[in-house]
Amino acid sequence: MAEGAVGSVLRDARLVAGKDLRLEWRTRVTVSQLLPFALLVLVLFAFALDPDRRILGEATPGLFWLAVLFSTLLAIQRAFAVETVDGVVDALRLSGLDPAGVFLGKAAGIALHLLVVEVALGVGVTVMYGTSPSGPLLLVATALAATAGLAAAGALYGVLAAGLRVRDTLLPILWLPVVAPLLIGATQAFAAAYEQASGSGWRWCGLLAAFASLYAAIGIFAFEPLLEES
Amino acid sequence: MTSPTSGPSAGLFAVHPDGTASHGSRVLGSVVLASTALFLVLALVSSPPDTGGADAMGELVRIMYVHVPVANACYLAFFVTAFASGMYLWKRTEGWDCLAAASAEVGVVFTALTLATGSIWGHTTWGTWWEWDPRLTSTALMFVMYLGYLALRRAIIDPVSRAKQAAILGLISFVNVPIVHYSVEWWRSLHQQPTLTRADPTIDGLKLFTLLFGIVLGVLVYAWLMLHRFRMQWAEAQVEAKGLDVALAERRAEARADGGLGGSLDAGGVRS
Amino acid sequence: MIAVLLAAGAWSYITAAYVVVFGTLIAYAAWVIVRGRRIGRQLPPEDRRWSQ
Repeated sequence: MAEGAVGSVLRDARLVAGKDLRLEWRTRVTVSQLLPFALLVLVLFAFALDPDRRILGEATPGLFWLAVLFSTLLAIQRAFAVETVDGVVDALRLSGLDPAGVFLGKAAGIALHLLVVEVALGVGVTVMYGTSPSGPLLLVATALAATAGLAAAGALYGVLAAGLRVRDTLLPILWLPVVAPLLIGATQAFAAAYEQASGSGWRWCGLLAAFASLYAAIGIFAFEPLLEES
Repeated sequence: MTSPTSGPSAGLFAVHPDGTASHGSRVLGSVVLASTALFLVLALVSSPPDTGGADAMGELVRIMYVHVPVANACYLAFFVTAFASGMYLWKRTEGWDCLAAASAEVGVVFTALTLATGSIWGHTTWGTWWEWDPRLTSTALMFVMYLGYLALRRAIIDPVSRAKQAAILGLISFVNVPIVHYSVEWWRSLHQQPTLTRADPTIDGLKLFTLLFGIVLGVLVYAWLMLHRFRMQWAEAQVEAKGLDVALAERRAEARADGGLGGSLDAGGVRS
Repeated sequence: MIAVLLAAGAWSYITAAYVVVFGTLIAYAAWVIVRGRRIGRQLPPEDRRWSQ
């Protein structure tokens, strides 16, 4: 019984994520808008901090994750904008899909978009800021854990703001303070990896993983009432 | 002014007929006023400056007598918001939603005061109005989080949907408070210990009594504000519901009039 | 001794803290009461349960 329930949740999650990714494949919004935006942010940081390789190199972990954070905002808005047009949220609600599955699917879709952005940003900071990556295992683990957290919290707050007239202005002030711990943790872990001091980096990485699990759990339970009447 | 409900002490505790005051709130308000007068005397005049130890705060200890109570009241307020949010999700009654909303707003006021007094205190210690002190920083994030909660409430028009979404956010926000707090604390502790620790001094005697009295007074002020703010929230909800009823009744009346004149077909759909 | 020297400046900080706290609370309370009356006026007395 429980086995079957988990199976159907995962199946629904795959359906929702698959739908979003097919939509992305057809419209190519991420490739044509999200990636250029992320790279633009990197260039703007250089303008703000002077193109001094030393400052940019030292600040790379923070700037990288800030660029990811801003891109995530766009990705969340995109993920729920496609639902609220033409009452698709109603369609999702009435489709009989498990709300937990819808949540996981949405989060997985956002996470995949973010991973693409992060790879591009990683290349970007290496080339443009002259940061030489080190500690690849910690970098990858941190990126995965932080992305999971960002996507889980993003899907949760995204559905809260979805469908509101003021969603574009409301989402940042609701979501950014919540992911402040993620920004801190991911930045510290990246800094540790760059400085080859991975000991404390792994502690931060653990914090990120705990955050991601917590928000995944909250989302799984809270999505049903949120989807009911949004 | 006479009120139909006021008891024997009508003169002193008379309430405005339209207002959110009641006999009870007047009594509590009087207690708060008297306690405030006593508190000001204790905190500013009677209690001695802090002189013990190397990091004695001197007269500045008096800032603590307001800072600690408002900080305590803001945590209490957000706890009440979370509790009322949970109760709303369980019971689905309007009252819990009103309580959560009222407490969040009062809590935001107390949080702003916590930040302000913390910053004033910090300026005496650090020489700058802002330092990335864990407590100050996480309080600032909490402030923005609950401003977001209030913004969400303003953004949703349908009362039932608003109540539910706000209740979920009220619960999640409270879960966030310790996460943000400990992550910020951990973050700061990696860099350096704050050069001048915000020493929690060993205070005793009259100083300790003043601090405890201030904390109790803070809770009383919170309770008094909540009585009024909660009633205002409840009255707003009633007016809102009535407004919807009136608008619907007008629609129906229009539809009936149109129907009577053999008017438009689509207006008939509004009739129920 | 230093504490005594600091005391003169200290009182301006103390005054600022107390004025901010009590000023804000009084202003907020006044706003709540005034707004409460304005909303109460739109409501029939039987809906104002606390005044029963």
